[in-house]
Amino acid sequence: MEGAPQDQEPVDETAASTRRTLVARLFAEHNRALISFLTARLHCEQEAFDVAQEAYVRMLQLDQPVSFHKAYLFRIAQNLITDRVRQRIVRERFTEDDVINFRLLQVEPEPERYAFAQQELDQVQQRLAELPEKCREAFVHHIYMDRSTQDIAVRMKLSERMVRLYIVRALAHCRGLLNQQERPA
Amino acid sequence: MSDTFDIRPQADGGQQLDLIEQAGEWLLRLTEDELSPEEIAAWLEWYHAAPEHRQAFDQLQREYEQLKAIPTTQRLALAEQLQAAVLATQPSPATARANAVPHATQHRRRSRLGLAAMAATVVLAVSAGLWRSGWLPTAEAQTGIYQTERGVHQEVKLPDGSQLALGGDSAASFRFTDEARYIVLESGEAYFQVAHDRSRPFIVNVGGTTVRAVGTAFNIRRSAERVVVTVSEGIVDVQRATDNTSAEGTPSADRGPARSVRLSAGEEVVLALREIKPLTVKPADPEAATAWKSGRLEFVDEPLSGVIATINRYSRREVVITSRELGKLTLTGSVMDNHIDEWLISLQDILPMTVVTVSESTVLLAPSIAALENRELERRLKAQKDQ
Repeated sequence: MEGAPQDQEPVDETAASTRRTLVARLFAEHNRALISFLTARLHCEQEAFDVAQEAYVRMLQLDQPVSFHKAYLFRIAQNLITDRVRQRIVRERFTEDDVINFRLLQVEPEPERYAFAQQELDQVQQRLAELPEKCREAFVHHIYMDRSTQDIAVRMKLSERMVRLYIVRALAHCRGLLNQQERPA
Repeated sequence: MSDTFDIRPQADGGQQLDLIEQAGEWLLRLTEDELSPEEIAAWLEWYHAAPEHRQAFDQLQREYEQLKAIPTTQRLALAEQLQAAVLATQPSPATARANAVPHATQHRRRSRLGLAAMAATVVLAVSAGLWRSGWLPTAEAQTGIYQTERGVHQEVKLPDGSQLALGGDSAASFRFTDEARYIVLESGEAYFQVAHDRSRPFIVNVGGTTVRAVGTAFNIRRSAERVVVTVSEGIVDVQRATDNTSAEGTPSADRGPARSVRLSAGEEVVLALREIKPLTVKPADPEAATAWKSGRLEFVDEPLSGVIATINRYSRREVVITSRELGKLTLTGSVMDNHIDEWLISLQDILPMTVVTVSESTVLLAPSIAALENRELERRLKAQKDQ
């Protein structure tokens, strides 16, 4: 890249270099948070890494010297998520993809590291059985049945805040039972 | 946002649980649909405020994502298993009667039924193998599970003398107490001939629905999307459980007639599992509904997705529909369970689809190429017009 003749002004080179430094700093300070954030939104760590990387690339490509504030990084990431979710929805419609990707439909491989021993699950179930009913119910709706906290709040006639609290208490009660994997740095 | 959120830095570092609750509240907030930049900023501030925050958040998130990564059907099975276990650990009727006033006993009974109903609500599709994991506590009740392989029927006599005919690739578990006979149809199809016992109702839980009988015969077919209950003798009550009817003892049947219906011989009700619709009773042919026992699968106006779910309980190869739209097309007809391959081929003449054999064990039903080509053509024409 450096050796190639560019019709850019030297000034831009400096700007680009400054951008790189700033993005590198953002990365150093906020990457862990960004990955956590993206994982919470996408429920897929691999996709979270992909989106994070794309967000950094977008930052590097910015023309204007906008503030390299973390808020901007997260906004870009949020927009990328919206695009991804939209793509997922489109993919589920009746399209040529249906035929082209049909081989993919047969199996849904689960990442190895999420394979639970039956014993671990039994322990989780046992802990859950000890919980007060509403607490367990909120957990089951959210974690096992993929219902949103808003949805659960309506069903259980509770505030969303209470629903979140119940789910978290249930999670806390099961803490430490699952195989704990360190996230790659 | 700061009104609804009460996340303050903790002065006392010993409050480990508080920290987890904070982390958890943030984690759940981040997963919600509406998330403002201000909230993200507030979370970031919290996340970076202390190493303990990051640690608590990351650990909780790992556990959360690991649980969510369990395949959906397995998670639904866990939900049902959990409810069944909780039900089983409730005080037995005998002890409840011994140390409670009559009124309270009544209440307890009702809440047990409520819970049983809730156990069923929690289920859409279940892989039954988990029941064998064996930690389910056993009270002084008779319990058991029956499970059939693909294409195999089984007839069994239950401890009360009732007959259970189980279709291919189906599973049912039972738990009989002094008070009631509970059955869970976990997957597939079953025909029940219930032994008469007025003191112990026969209650079948299936995908959010309770089917209740005293002495009668009926068939239940269950797939991922719907449940069909057909009565061939006597009377059964079918009640869709609501999610918020639980131990409060609120009689859910009082809240609207649409949730509960009574079926007589020659009637059936179709329940959609993924949406709430009023229950409507239709006349039905019980012989057609139980024809599966002699190898004939009958379908009336059933979406292809449901038809294939039933077919797959008998087919030697797994049949996969590759398009959701295709799965919505409805079908009426009958199939012999030993001639499924031929039937699939003939299906190409009546539906816009193609049968694609991808392996020894898998057949795909794909929307036909012609339909796709038409679509492509339409799109090109439209593109030309737009230019």
